[in-house]
Amino acid sequence: MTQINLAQQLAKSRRPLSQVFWGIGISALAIVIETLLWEWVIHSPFLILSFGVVLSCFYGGGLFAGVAATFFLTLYSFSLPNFIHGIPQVIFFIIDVWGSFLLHNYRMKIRRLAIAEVRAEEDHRLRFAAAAAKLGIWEWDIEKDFLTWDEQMLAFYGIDRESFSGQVAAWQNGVHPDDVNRANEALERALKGEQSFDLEFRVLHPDGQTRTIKANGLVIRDASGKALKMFGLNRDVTEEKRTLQQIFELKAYFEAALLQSEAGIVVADAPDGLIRFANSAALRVAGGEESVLVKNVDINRYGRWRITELDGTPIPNQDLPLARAIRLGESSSRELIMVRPNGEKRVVLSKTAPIRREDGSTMSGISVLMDITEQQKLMEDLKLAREAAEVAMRAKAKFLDIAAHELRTPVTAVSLLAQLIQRQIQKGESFEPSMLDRMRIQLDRLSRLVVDLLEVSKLDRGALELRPEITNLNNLISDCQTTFQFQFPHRAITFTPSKESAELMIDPVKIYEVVSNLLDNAIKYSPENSPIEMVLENKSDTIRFSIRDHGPGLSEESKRKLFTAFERGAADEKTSGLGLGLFICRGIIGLHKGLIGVSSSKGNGSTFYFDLPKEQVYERTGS
Amino acid sequence: MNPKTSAPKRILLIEDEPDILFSLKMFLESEGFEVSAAQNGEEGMRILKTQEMPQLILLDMKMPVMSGWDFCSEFINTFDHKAPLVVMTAAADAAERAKEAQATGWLGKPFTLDELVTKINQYLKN
Repeated sequence: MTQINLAQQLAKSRRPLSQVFWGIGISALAIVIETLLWEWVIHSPFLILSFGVVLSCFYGGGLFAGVAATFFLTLYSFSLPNFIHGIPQVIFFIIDVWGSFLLHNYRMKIRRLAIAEVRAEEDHRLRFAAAAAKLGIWEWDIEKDFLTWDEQMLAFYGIDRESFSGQVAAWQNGVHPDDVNRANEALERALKGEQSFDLEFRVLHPDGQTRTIKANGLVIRDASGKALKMFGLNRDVTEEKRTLQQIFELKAYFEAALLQSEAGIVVADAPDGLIRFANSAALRVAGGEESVLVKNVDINRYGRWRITELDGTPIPNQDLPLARAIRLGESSSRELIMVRPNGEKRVVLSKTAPIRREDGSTMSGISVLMDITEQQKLMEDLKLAREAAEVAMRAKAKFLDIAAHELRTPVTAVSLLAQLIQRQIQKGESFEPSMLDRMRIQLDRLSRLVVDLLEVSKLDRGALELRPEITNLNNLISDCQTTFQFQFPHRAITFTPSKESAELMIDPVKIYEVVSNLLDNAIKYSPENSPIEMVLENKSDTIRFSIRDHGPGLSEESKRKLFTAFERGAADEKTSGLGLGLFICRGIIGLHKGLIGVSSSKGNGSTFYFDLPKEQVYERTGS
Repeated sequence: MNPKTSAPKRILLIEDEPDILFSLKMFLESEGFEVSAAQNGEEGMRILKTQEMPQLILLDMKMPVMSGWDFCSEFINTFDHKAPLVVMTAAADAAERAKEAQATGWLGKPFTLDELVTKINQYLKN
């Protein structure tokens, strides 16, 4: 552009007509001065002529103005009364014109020199700027096909000054073969004036290196529009392109990663927290639509995500992790509840951090959301299961301890009795036969314990088998009553049988075991003079056996533990026995698809009962 | 040992299982000891409080009314002059339990009469 201005300035010249007016003006001025200095002027008329010429050349601004002034003043001098006419006048005129011409030339020369200096300076400045900006400058004289390149241009095309032909072909040779057609077309269109010369192409260096060049150019035309010259710049944009490409690829990677991530990701921009991005995982966690959760959502609309503390306390918009990251630059990792539109609550682990600019200011905030609801539930279940297993294990260990103790006691008794008898026999003394009875009773006790243990073990493994047959429950209970009454003749044991038929398909041995167990307990745990009442009732679908004692009754805690194996042992050190009886009873009744239970309160005695279904729904497991 | 030559040694026997109590009482008496028998800790404590301190106490741990544990702690707290206290227990960790209860010694059930005699002699000599 600067070059074009200079050219225009050079081409500019004053019009002769305006110079004639200048001439008239200066002549008039000279005449006025002459009139004022009349006495002196009539003796020296050359002065007025020279004065006009000097004025016009230096201040009037041109050769023509000087000539015109001389001409008018000469005409005027002819009119003066005592002026010397004739040849000398003409000579003076010629000298004047000649002087005027010389002065004009001198002035023009000075002006040209000044312009050239300015131009050189501008040119220098341009080249300096171009070098600093790594711009190559070119100029092409179309008519002569004369191409001028600066050093930078040569470097761009990877050639040296010697191998540069100085023709447009040099450029065409440098352009990558794949791009040369496109480049030529662009040049053609620029020359035709269809399009400005502005294109990007690759150049192929002689050493095989490829660079990308951005070229711009202007066409200089004559008045008729014919293209005379082209000026322009080249810029190496290879690095720029590469950087852009890298940025583009990086962006693509990140976008793919964000979109594909199983974790929910939400990005919002500072300072107003406008959500810029939320991947599908985030929308899945929140259970909402993108249009609702993302579109035009700034900090004031974060409530659309419906987030609360774990205890359900709502969190104000300004205090949500993403809002805090943007407002305060705060990083956080915390568990929250996200309430889905359908009311479902999800436990979410939110890891949030600000994204900072180079200067440390917050640019955006990013939240990574992980739905840990299932995980938490699993952990909770696992914890409960582990605790239950530990409790069961401790109970079993304790039970084993007690079982060992309970087994050792009759063994100790039998062992001591046997040793005593042995000693007495050795001494030749007689021994009391009751000692043998004692041994037998202890052995029975031992045997019962072993049977109980086996039964529990079978129940525990689900291996207890029933041998069901049609049994009259009235008779079975009656038999049991008789047996116990024989053992405990002083206890008042009554039985009210069912009025209707009480025939069921049951395992009579096992049910007898249950009844005798309950009866044994009732006798053991109630005062000797208190009665025990047994009843068999027909209900709609079941037959109920119940046995009531007038003992101390049971606490709620005892009732809860009563039918559990390995529990009673933990109760205290004072009670003997394994406390397996009721557990076994429950197992046997359970196998019969019946129910066993107790109703009792402290001080009012206890009523144990079991219901057996009339329909035999259990499978016949025995033979 | 020959208790018959001097004044008979007295043993307090506390055991809830009647057959064991019967056997031990019969055996110890046949060995020349004077035996005070109790069926639980409370009864044993009553005997201690009403009679002279015996030369040895044989104590079952698991008993109704007052267990061996309770008896031990009360015994230790109540009396200055103490007889050796031997606990008879069927627990698996008999030695530890005896130590916890601050008993002098222990016998693991089941035991033989010879073991019992050895133990009694050991503590009476001391």
